[in-house]
Amino acid sequence: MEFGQTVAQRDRYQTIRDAGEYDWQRLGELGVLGAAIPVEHGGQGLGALDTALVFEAAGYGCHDTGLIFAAGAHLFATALPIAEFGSDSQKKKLPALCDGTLIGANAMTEPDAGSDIGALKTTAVRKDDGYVLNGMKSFVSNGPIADVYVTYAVTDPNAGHLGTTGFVVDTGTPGLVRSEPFGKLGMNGCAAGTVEFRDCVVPDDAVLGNGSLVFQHGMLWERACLFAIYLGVQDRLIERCIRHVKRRKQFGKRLSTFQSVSNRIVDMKLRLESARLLLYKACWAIDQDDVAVLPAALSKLAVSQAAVQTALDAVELFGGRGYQTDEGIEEHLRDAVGGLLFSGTSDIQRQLAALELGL
Amino acid sequence: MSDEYHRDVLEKLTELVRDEFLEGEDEELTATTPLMEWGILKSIETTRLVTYVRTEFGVRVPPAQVTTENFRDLESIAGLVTALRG
Repeated sequence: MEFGQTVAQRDRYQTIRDAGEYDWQRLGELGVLGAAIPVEHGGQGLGALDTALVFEAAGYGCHDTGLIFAAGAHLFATALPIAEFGSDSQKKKLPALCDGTLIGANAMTEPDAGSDIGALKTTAVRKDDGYVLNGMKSFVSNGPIADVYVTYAVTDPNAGHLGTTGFVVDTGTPGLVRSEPFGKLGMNGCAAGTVEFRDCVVPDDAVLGNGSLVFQHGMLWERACLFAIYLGVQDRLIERCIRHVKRRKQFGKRLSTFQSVSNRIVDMKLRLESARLLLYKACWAIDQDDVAVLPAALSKLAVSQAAVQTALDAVELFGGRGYQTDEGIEEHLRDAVGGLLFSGTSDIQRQLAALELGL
Repeated sequence: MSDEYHRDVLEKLTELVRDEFLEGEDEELTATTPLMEWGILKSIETTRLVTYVRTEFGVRVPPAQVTTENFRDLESIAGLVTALRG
């Protein structure tokens, strides 16, 4: 394992971080949407660590964290599973997913099933040359606007979590009904809603693979790479806090001269750098084809918790201004809370880590 | 040697399922008990079992091998571990 970035990594990081303007098409042009997709399918062909650096740069440069999160959900839970498990005809969608022409969404979560794929209620029943899907997906990031969905349904009720199958379903398929975006605490640049399948008929070629296998693969990459967004966000936020405390005065002295203030910022930095190393280690393990479940779970825990605490610290450092919505500080806290939940809650990460420790 | 290894794996896996997953209530557990169908192997138990195989036998089960066929019963899992050991 080597430390330090190569010239190519540094150039890529700076290009994305300093892009200035960001929207969906621009993320496609910058290579964010297809970072981990093989070059022959229109992507950048990057490994997990390089992909994480791409999302870290985007998290720093783009102040709309929800937009970058939407890109992560699109890449890690839709495009990447298609690249890894998809048929040749499914892979024909990849160039358009990489350049931003198509938007992908992962429809997994149900009212009674989040991380537990064995608890899914959505069914896919064999009929003629295909399947009939029925069920409700209750929280789908990019759901209201996506063109392509990767979804999961029970195909063999006797086989538990291994009796599920992943499917690729296009928007416009009769019986696929999606909601308007619903309101949520943060990540407002990412539209989320429900997706319902009502006697939705899909052909055999919609089958992506064993649901458990496809889902675990996507979640591993999400836990490791997607959370790099929060590293970039925290880098930016800490820099802003430092500028603020060096400028603002109280009792005739700059805030930075109060040890309780400077210590708080040092703790923010310590938390960030510790989490960063865990995340890089998880990505490195994926790139080495090593068992990455434990490092990815620990990384996800550390990064998501650091993001919340650092955002809370920033609100305190900015005081009343940090609490006001027009200052752009409190939104970091709202955006960070979702990180405790998606890709598996903190409790699930601890459960995964405990299992990996043989507990 | 392979048969002996297979028997050893089967014995240890049976012990794991009996003691950890069924908490000793194993009156009907055999090498061909349908683990998925009977709800003994859910996703968390499967993860524990895969981790156990890695730490106890030094055998890494690739995700693509975690299938209903390979995890149907203890006999199938022991067969998979023996085959992966090479």
